Amino acid sequence: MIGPYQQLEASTQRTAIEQLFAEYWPAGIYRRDLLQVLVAVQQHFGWISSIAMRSIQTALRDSAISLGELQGIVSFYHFLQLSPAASWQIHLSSNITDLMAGQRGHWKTLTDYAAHWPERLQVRISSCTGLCDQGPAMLLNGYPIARLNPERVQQILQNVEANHPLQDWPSELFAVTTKIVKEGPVLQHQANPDAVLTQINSCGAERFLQELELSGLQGRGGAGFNTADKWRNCRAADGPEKYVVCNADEGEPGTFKDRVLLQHKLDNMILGMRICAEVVGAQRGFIYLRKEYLFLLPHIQSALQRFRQQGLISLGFNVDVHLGAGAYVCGEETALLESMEGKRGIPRIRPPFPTTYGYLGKPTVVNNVETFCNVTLIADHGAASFRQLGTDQSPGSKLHSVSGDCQHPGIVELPYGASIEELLQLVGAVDCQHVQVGGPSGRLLSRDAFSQPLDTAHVNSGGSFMVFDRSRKIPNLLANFMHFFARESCGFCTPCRAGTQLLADASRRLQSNATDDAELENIREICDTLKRASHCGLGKTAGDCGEQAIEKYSLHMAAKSLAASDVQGIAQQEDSAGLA
Amino acid sequence: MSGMKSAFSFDGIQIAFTSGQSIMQAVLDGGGYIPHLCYHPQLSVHGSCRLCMVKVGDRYLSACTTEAQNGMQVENQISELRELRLKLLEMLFAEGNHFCPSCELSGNCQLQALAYELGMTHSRFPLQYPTRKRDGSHATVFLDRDRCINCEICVRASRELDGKNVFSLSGRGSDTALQINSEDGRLGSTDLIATDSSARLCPVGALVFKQGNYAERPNERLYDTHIISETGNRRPAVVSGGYPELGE
Amino acid sequence: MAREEHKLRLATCSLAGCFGCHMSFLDIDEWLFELDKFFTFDRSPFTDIKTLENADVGLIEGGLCNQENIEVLLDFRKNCKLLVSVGACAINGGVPALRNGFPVEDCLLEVYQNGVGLQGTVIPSGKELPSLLPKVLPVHELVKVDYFLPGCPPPAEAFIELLCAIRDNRAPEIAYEHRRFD
Ligand SMILES: Cc1cc2nc3c(=O)[nH]c(=O)nc-3n(C[C@H](O)[C@H](O)[C@H](O)COP(=O)(O)O)c2cc1C
Ligand code: SF4
Ligand code: SF4
Ligand code: SF4
Ligand code: FES
Repeated sequence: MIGPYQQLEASTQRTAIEQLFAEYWPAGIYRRDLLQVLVAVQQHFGWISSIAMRSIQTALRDSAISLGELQGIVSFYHFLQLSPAASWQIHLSSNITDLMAGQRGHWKTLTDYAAHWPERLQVRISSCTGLCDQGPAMLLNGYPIARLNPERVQQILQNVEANHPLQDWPSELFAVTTKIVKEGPVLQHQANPDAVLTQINSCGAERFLQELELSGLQGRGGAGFNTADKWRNCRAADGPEKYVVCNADEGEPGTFKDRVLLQHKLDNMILGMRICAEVVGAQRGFIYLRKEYLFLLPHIQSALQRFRQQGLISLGFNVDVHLGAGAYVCGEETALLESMEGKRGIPRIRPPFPTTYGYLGKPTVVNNVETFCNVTLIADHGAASFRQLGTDQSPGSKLHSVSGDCQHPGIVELPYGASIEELLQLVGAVDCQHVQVGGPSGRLLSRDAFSQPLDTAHVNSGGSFMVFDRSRKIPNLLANFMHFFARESCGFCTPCRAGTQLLADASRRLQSNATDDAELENIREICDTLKRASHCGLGKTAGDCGEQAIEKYSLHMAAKSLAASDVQGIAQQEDSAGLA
Repeated sequence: MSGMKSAFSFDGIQIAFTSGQSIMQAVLDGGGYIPHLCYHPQLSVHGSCRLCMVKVGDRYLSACTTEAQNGMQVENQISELRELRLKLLEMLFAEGNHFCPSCELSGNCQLQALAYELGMTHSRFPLQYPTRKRDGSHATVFLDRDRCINCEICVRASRELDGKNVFSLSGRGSDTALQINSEDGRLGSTDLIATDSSARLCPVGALVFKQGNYAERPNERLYDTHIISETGNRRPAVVSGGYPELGE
Repeated sequence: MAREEHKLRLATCSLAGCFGCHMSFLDIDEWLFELDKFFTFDRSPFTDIKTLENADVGLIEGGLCNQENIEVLLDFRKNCKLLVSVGACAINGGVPALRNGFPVEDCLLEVYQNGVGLQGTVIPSGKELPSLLPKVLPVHELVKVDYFLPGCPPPAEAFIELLCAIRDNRAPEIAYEHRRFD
């Protein structure tokens, strides 16, 4: 843990950077390492100085890169900065659940302090730090501090004022604990790596692939693509060089189940990757870890070390960690691959899909953390046992990250097919009016839909589940989500680059009731354009999200205009639109 | 050409294609037209402007990134797509600063020409009036980012046709901006020369030549009288420093 | 021109514009006679009529750059059945909107105090002067606009088509060669 950041003299800086390179990249730096190098420099020095960029230019082995291009990469990622570092850097999480828990007040306290002493403290926004069950949350020099309240914020400011080295700060501040509200097979599963691998080896890759097919496992990252199909495509792809990538970018606001799996079920996940490598014939694996989860890096690296020592991942298959740098879009698998290659995270044109043209153009499987955990579960207990839970179309269980207005925010593992109502009961959500399932990219559902089952055929979810009671207003949700999309749009395609910004602006007026019918119609048209013309899923779902919220908002307005004739009716409709 | 003859239907007309060709390539080769700004036949495919959206069944696909398939039914000239493209154009106008009356490319601009053809009169979306930097440091070429649509045609042309690497994009989202790959970030410090393709392919008036502008009278410029779907995407020599036009 | 009851009442005004659109309107030349058969002027700089009431059509040249523009525009919207945005400035701010990239204070300082050759001058102020808006805005961002006539200025043919369409109670169809953004 590094802090406070120091202002270093040019020569000292240069030497320190060279030492850093020598330590982490003894064999020299290649183009594809660029993002990792930039992240390391950012983490060690608090910014990417021109000295650092020059050092990178000189150290690059395989190709020259211009300063402009380097800046292009740096300016793409939220956590990389070109301006000099303050001693302390705060990124305040700004998901709707953070706002609901009082983030705005802390923002004011912290920015007031920073305004008086900008060299000491810098405060910025980050989209969602994956701590929604314990928000409001923030990152301090890259490390999470959750459960912010006025006292804790004062405590942080006192330490900033005193400039205490980060390792001397009370460790209690940095505690990240998540309540497991309900366990299921995935969270209960304790795999014996040796036994699982022996079994895979004895039955053979093809045989296991058949078992995986029987299990009907669907990806847990959101899209729900059939995992066996993906693996078979990659297995069939030509070429000796293949890769397995674990998508631990978990950027969807309100999602933190991958963090919990990384904390508690890491071995199962790594085993899942190992099995995948066996099946598709890959020699290397990567865990693409979002920068917000930097605090888990030592834990992950020691697990990998342990696996290596036990010979479980050294024999022709090694796993490394790739860090993200703050970009939701990099959770999209092709943007993730671009980012892994050290570039700006712009989604590729598909097809070709990663299974034939992935990392460095080689066949690659990209799966979610939870998907790999399920693979290990299936390898251990078989498809039949796996299918005992869930529905025919969506077998198995799903982890939900629950946050918002409920008594027990945390992780709930439920069989596919369980209803929204069941989940709400488990977490003690007594006064729930709306839920946003699957994050801003998912669906906004009101009471009339709570009997619906949570599975890929009905209400599909990547694992975010946010609960809203009757005190919450739709325009505020919409504004938060629209600012999220505008902040996270990669800017590549017209509808999303322009449209998400237009929607964010419009949502601000919606919040202050300054929107007329013509503007509502405009908002619908923007959403429609996003849905139909966007290059990748981000833009498409941004349009979807806006459309749903506007629909509910219009219901509210319709209810209002009924006021004169039917007082009873409006009370009911306002309730269901969440605007009372 | 070898192998089986393949064809797909494009607004009811049969278009022949060779395997691996995109819908866009096949249609342009066949003498047809699909609106486009970021596509250029001599450059790698980009897929960012989204003006080439066509409909296949109930799916909306960008024609420049979608491979043609035998027997495919592609719809292009339908009112639904006209409306979609109109909105995309209006977004492009809203996110930049397009003051055509003072623009060197007015009359020869592909963005403007598409707006004329589709009958755009204004942007229904609030104009953003962004503040972007201009770059007049180069001897012959001027960069006005206010009019840049981030199509990366110059980026690709520099790398793929000129064997240089003059341009790239920086930032993200609505802050995305064209960036110059020189040490001081200025166009004048690069190895760009007037004859480079990258200086002559910008579909709009973002990269323009400093000399020889406004030589044509209004009513005499390319798109004053020619509809872009009939003439195609062209940048006449007269606005490209007098160097011959680079054909589509 | 005397007010004639059976004719359509046409009002025009220029907000933040240069009167170029009005000049182009006059380029309709002999079609003025045709115009006179169906239209009569309400408030317009052509006739110097200063008050506006119950017009059928209002043509707005120029965007919104100050408080007075807003008042005039709202008055036009209230009193015109159809409102038409005429010209680049009304439609996207045009040349006056080139100031949108700078703070208003900087513009005033440059024009009245710091510019070349200025000495000891002050920025005019006073209640009678309308205050400047932070940004120049298109007309349709404040009020509903029924038709748009792009061009800088729109050619006379476009004006003729617009007026014919209004006379015949249909939407205008500007021919390709008269669609102009410049
Ligand atoms: C904008 C966007 C963001 C995404 N973010 C994530 C993410 O954070 N984690 C994830 O596993 N999948 C994410 N996905 C889905 C991935 O593209 C991909 O489908 C997934 O990693 C495949 O793994 P699975 O089949 O195991 O679910 C995202 C998709 C989009 C369009
Ligand atoms: S929809 Fe377009 S701009 Fe948005 S993230 Fe995807 S590629 Fe980028
Ligand atoms: S680039 Fe084209 S659309 Fe933009 S101002 Fe110039 S002529 Fe008009
Ligand atoms: S300068 Fe022109 S060619 Fe280059 S990205 Fe901008 S619009 Fe495209
Ligand atoms: S031409 Fe196809 S997206 Fe631009």
